[in-house]
Amino acid sequence: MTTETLTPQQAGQLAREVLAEIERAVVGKPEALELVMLGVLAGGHILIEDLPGLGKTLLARSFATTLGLEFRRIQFTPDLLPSDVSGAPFYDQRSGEMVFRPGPLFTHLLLADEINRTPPKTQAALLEAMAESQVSIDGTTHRLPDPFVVIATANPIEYEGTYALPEAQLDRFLLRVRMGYLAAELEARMLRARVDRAAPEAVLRPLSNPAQVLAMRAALERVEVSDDLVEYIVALVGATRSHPQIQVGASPRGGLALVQLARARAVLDGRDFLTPEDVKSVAVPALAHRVTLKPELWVRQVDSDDVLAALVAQVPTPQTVPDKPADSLADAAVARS
Amino acid sequence: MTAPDAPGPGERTGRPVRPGSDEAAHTAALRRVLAVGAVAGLAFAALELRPAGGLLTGGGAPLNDEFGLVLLLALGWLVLLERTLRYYRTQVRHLVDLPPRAYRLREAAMRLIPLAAIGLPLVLLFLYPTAKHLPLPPLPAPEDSRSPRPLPTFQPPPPTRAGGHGLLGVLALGITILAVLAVLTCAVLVWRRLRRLPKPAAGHRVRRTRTDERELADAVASARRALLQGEDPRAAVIACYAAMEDSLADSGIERLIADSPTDLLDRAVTAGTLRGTDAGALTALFHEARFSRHPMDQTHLSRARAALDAIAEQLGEQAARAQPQDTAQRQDVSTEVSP
Repeated sequence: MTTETLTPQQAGQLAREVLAEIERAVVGKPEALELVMLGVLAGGHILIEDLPGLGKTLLARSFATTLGLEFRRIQFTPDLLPSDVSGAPFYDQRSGEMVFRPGPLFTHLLLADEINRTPPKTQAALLEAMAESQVSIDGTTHRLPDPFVVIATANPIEYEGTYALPEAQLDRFLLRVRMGYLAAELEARMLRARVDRAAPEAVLRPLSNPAQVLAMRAALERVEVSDDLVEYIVALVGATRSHPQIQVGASPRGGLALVQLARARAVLDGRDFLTPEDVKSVAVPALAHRVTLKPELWVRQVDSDDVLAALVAQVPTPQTVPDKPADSLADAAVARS
Repeated sequence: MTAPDAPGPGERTGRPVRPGSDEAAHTAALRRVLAVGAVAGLAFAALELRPAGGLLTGGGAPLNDEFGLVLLLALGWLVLLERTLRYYRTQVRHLVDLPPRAYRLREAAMRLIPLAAIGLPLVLLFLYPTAKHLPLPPLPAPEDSRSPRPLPTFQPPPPTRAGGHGLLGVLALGITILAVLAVLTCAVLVWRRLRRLPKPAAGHRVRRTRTDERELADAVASARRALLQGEDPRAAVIACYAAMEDSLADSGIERLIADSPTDLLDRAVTAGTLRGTDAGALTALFHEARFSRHPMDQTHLSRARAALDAIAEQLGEQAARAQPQDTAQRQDVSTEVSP
């Protein structure tokens, strides 16, 4: 389906234009918007966890519109069934055969609103779709459209009538984003923008299409990652497994997510090589939801974001002067060119 | 009967049996029992020694009516606890990966030691005047008629507080108030020190800025040499950045172990040592030289030179601005010193 090839610089330019367009609708959330864009570029799924009314749904819809992706939304409720998500076969009277009717999962960008309100059985219906971009029903495998992105929202404060996502499903999300409240000045700007446009929401222009999204994703593969940074990422992931406050550390999938998100950050900055800053900036969103803290920390209300931030501040970054002499780097460059 | 293949007691749990572990546990329990017994015995003996005395009765102890000694003890306690906490802080400050229990213990110690340092002397000072410093009743004379000498009879000491309102009493009251105020002042000072309240440091910023400029200028010179002499632009750019990093470390802005180049330069820019644009350009060049395989040529070299020139120019301007201030400060100092 990929009809064009983009360099990392071109992909970054397009991604920045998309972000600028979305910022017309979602005011004052540049960090959250960037993280969601990184998730889209890295080919993953995004979990947005925050309080109600902070613009989670608006954000997802704005991305779908601006990226030119087909958009569907599922409001997860306690009585939702797996077949309501993935689709089910029904009897076609004209042909006399069982025909599969696709569910709302068959779309480019799916907003799974309040995903923790539905029981684990329905949540599990998303597992195969998120991991392998396909759905198996009655022994038949149905491919999902490409690209397929799930943006799920979860409300972290309600416990009654909610079902916490199991670790296996949390691990399927490439990153977790928290939006947070706006600062007073930004909130005033948001209200002013609403009054000035005299409409509930800003009308956004589509700046991309599914093929270009795939091309942007392909551009990530051209981002260089030096050996030192691979070791740094391994050290970060390994530190989560030996940290005294963490019961279960990050999985190898967490390391892969960290690499891809860091590469997406490099693309967004218009670079075709990774730096320690790229890794550090996405380490907490990529890893915090993949670790399980020890029970005594729940009592102290210590958040995994705080533990991961402290951990990132302890793991040594690559040293200034490389162990490998500069000549060998130059030779490698010559050989590559 | 036990089956031949049946596991032993230690094998069932999967843990190795350490020889003497039961004995060690028994000894530890015995020690605890002995310690509790000793404390209980001492308490019982104290109660039996003066059964008629109340909890706040001063009795005939050596500290009775020695308020100065009590003050000295309170001050000594303050100093002792302050030293203890300082030593404890130096020992545990750098421990970051503590298990939760040790972490809680450290936090509790950090809070309780200052409280104990301040609280105990205050309680002592407030309780001491209200304690009943009354003479205790005489001990019962032993009924031993065989003693040829009569036992000395108890002579109650003369009352130390006359209760009058003479000059001596007012003087004593004033000295007492002054002493209490001194102890309270010491307590507040110790509390501030323990809580690490910031103290104004005059003149520190000016001297440090001057040091930064000199060291950074040296670094710029060494980096220029690296750029001029180096045939490999990649190595030259890396050497240039490393020299700048060393100079920042010498001037107090050290690269932490988990710092990225941007983290370090953000701190330098925030401190006013470097300017953001030039430092950012140099950092970007370093990133490219260090973490990419891009072929680097004279273009990169010239950009590095331009960034270094801009930094050198900035440092020169800062030095020129700082020189009249230093001269003025020296003149002020000489004016103050001269009669």
